[in-house]
Amino acid sequence: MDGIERLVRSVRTLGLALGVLALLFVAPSAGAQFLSGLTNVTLNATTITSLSIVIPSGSSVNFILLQGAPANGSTAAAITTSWNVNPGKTGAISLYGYFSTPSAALAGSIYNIASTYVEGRMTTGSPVAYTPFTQTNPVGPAGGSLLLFSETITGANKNKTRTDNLDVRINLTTSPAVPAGTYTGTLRIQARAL
Amino acid sequence: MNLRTIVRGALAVCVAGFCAASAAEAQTLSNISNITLNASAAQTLTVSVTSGSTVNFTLAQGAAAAGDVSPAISTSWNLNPGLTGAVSLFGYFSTPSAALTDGTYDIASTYVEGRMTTGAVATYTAFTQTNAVGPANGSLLLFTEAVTGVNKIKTRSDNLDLRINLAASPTVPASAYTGTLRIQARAL
Repeated sequence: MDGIERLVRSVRTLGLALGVLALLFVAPSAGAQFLSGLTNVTLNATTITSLSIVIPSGSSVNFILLQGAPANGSTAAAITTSWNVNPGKTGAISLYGYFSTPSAALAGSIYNIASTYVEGRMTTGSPVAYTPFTQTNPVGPAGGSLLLFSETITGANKNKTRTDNLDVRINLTTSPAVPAGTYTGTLRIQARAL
Repeated sequence: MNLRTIVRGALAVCVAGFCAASAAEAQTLSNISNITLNASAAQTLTVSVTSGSTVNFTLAQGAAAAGDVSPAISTSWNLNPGLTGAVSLFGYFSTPSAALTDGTYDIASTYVEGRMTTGAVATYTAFTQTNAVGPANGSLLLFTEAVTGVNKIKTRSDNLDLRINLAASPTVPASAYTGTLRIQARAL
C-alpha cells in the first residue's frame, strides 16, 4: 500500500510541475505585450494676436491748394483694419494717423506745410469733423497725430475687420501765403491694441 | 528705517515693475501704411484798382489837364522765382486812336499821359508804347519788378497819375468824352 501511495503522490507532484511549466511557456506566448505606466504630454496652442491695416484705395491724395481757404483731397483714403485679439488682454483697438515731422507734413523746395494745416475726418470714427493732425497720442510724434477711431474689444468683436474712409484736407485759412510750388508728404497710419 | 520697511519698499518696487512690464507687453502695434499727399499751390497774379477807378478831367485846350484823382492799383502775386523773372504792370487802351470818345470825336492815346512815381514812369508819358500787353502804340509800362525768393509773394500798391495833355492837339470839340484805361500785369 505504501508503494501505491508513494506512486500516487509522485504522479501528483509531476502533474503539478508540468502545470507550472505549462503556465511558464504558454502564458508569455499568449500575452506578449508589456504595458508601462501612463505619462501625459500636455498640448498647448496659442493663437497669436494679430493686428494689421491695409489701404485698399486712396493711398495717394492730391490737393490743389487755396490760399486762405481749405482744399479737399482728390479722394478719401479707405483704411481696412483687421484684428484677432484676446478680449481678456486687449481693451480696445485704436487707429492713428501721424506725420513723422509735424512741422513739415508736406515739404516743398523752399517751404514746408505744417501738420497744423492738415486736417482729417473719419465720419465712422472719432473725428467726425475735420480736425488737424496736432494731437499727441501713443503713436506718432508729439503734436503730430490724430486719433481716427477707438473700438472697445469684447467677445463679440474680438475677431473683426472694418473699413473706414479718411477724408483729408489742407486748410490754409489761418496760414501765411504758401509759395507757389508742389508739396509732398506722407501720412502714416498705424493701429494699436491695448 | 528698519528691515521690514526696506523689504516692503523693495516688494513695492518689484510689483510696480512687474505691472509696468505687463502693460508694455500688452500693447500690440500694427504695421504702418502710408498715404502719400501731393499738393500744389498755383502761381497767382492779380491786379485791382482799390480807389480812383473813375477819373474826371476838365479838358484845357492846348494844355494839360490832370485827373481829379490818382487810381491806386494793387498788384499781388505768388510766383515761383525759378519760373518767373519779373512782374510788369501795363496800362493800355484797346483802341489807341480813340482812347476817349464822345461818339463823334476821338481823343487818341497820344494825348493821354500817365505817371507812376513808384514805378517805371517817373514823369508823365503818353500811352503810345508797344508792349507785350495791349495793342501797338497804345500802352504804357507802369512798373517792372524782378521776382526773387524775397518777393515771390508780394502785394504792392502804386498810384497812377493821369492827365490829358492837349498841348499838341487840335482843338477838341466841346463835349463829354469817355474812355477805358485797361490795367494788366504780366509775369514772365
